[in-house]
Amino acid sequence: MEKRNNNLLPGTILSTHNGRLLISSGVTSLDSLLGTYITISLQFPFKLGTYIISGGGIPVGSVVLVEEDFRGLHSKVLLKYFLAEGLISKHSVLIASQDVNPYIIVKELPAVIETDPEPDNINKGPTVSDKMKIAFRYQNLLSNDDLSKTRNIAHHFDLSKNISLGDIENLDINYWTGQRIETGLNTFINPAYNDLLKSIKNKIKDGKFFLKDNPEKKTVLRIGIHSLGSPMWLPCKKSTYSIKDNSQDLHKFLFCLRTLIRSAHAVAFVTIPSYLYDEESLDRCIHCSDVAIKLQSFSGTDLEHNQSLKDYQGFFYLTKLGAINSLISKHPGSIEFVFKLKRKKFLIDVLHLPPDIGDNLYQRNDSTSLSCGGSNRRLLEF
Amino acid sequence: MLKTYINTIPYTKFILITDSLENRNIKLFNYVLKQHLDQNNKIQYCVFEGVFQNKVRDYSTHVNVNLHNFVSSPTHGGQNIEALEELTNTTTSADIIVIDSLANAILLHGLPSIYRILNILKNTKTIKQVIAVLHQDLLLEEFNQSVVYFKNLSTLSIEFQPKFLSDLPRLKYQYKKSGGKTISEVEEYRFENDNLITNKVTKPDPSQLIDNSTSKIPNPEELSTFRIGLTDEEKLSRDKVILPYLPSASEEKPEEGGKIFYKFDEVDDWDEEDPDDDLDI
Repeated sequence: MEKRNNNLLPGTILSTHNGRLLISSGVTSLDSLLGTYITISLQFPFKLGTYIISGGGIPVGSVVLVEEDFRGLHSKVLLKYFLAEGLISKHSVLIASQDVNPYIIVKELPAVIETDPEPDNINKGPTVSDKMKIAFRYQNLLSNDDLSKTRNIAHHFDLSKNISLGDIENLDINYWTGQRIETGLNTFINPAYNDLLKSIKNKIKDGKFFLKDNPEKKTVLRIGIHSLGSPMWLPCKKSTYSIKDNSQDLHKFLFCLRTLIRSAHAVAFVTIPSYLYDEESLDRCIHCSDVAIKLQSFSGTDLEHNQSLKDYQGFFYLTKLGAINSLISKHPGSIEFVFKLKRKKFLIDVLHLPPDIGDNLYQRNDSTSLSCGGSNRRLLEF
Repeated sequence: MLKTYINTIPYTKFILITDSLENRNIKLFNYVLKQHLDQNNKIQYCVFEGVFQNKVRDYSTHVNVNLHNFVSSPTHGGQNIEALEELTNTTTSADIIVIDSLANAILLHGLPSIYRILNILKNTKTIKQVIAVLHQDLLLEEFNQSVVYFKNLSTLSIEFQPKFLSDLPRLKYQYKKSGGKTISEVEEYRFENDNLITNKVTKPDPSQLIDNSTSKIPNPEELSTFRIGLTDEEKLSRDKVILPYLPSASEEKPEEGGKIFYKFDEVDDWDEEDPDDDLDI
């Protein structure tokens, strides 16, 4: 086993579930969401039911699609985590964006730190030795605490500090701004898509990232595409095309990208301003991706004032989790997730709604304590 | 308050004013411009509508306003659209870019190029603020979506709305703070001596409305044609009446010692046994 681990590419782990190589997304909570597999080993007669928990991640060779939140702020943070993790793991990185200068994205990447910048204040509940007598079935459920103990390859980052440019000077970072686009015969209406696809293909070829290649130093190529399909991706300058016509290009691009990525040691992380597209075109995009994530921020909506959501910034949906090398994919179930952007850290959490006692109105006017015998006794009187 | 968001320093990066023929007010645009003129900010005014010479005449007294002619064709002294993009290189740190009609610019040069240029202008650090007016109804149907694009690009989007149950016109705005917060409000506005005054239109709380409407218990007296209530005088006299069955302190106690005498009938068969003997009393 030891020997095999040495052969792994840097910054990767092997999935115990389907044998895929996994890389970290940079966000620990996202990694565990994407694939924490539990194997129960039965070692009779010494031990029965030992959990082996392996940290998850993004499978190498997959396309991750992120539907941006309203202003695209949080999806950009996710992209930055993905790229920063790549640079720390000495992966090759390709950054493409037409909306902002990709060089600025790299400059704003979070700095790596030793420990968790803002650890959660988890109230230590009953320990394992405390056996549940009534709800004993819940005893075997993993708590968040357990998940954080899993073997993770993700590093800790501090969002309030930027990466020092000296550290990344010698790393393989490629930029694509879409400024020098060759117009010619191509399958896309907008030549920019063709150009980006070509750039990615050339990078994979030159860097020997194809599965069949056997370079001296193997590594993974991380491709970050920011705001693909935004109005900046509208075709040629004087045309009358609207985004609706443009969505065809977007599907085609994702389709081609997926094929290209699948045959290489590469992962693509694509953010899309989904609020500009209708549901139908979005569905097609999701179909052309392996992992689909949707961020829905509360900012500017009525949800912003909702008392039970006040600690969070938005909903996090895991729309699709592709089954690669496996017949069954992991499904998070009917749990709702929320995300929180702290000063130094981005966090994805399970949404726990407080008990629905009394009218919302009371909760809004005077923060009701939900414990029995609180100051607002009339809520509990009947 | 809209006024604070317009005047906050550092200035919000991109103000988009959306209007239509029915709902428009040039005063707001002039007000935003005046704020910059008062602050002695240098304005690069890109004229896309109207007659260029009129604009020159209007702003002849202002030294800080630099007018660019995009109305006339290049053969008649106008500028190419590339000149707008070049403003990013020629501007100094305190420049304000004003585009008086985005719709005209889109119709002339196409949506992609105008969006691209505005995105570049917005991302250029040397430009303090971009102000653009978009006449919504000038755009053809296929461009209608572009309003959404530009609103999305803007950091403060102001839209005129018709009057509603009030004499004052309304405007709806969305202000995006740099920290990530978004503020959306509807306000009524008016101008007093070139000064913008806005009042927040308060939204009635639906739950309170329901409470108010249901808490009133209907008064049965109003429903009936009969008089079923009592006046205060009548209530007083009613209280004075002593009802016969009510115990009162002054009442004398009845005499005790009552006894029941049972007189046998002729055919009465007296049973000595207790009829309730079997009961456990």
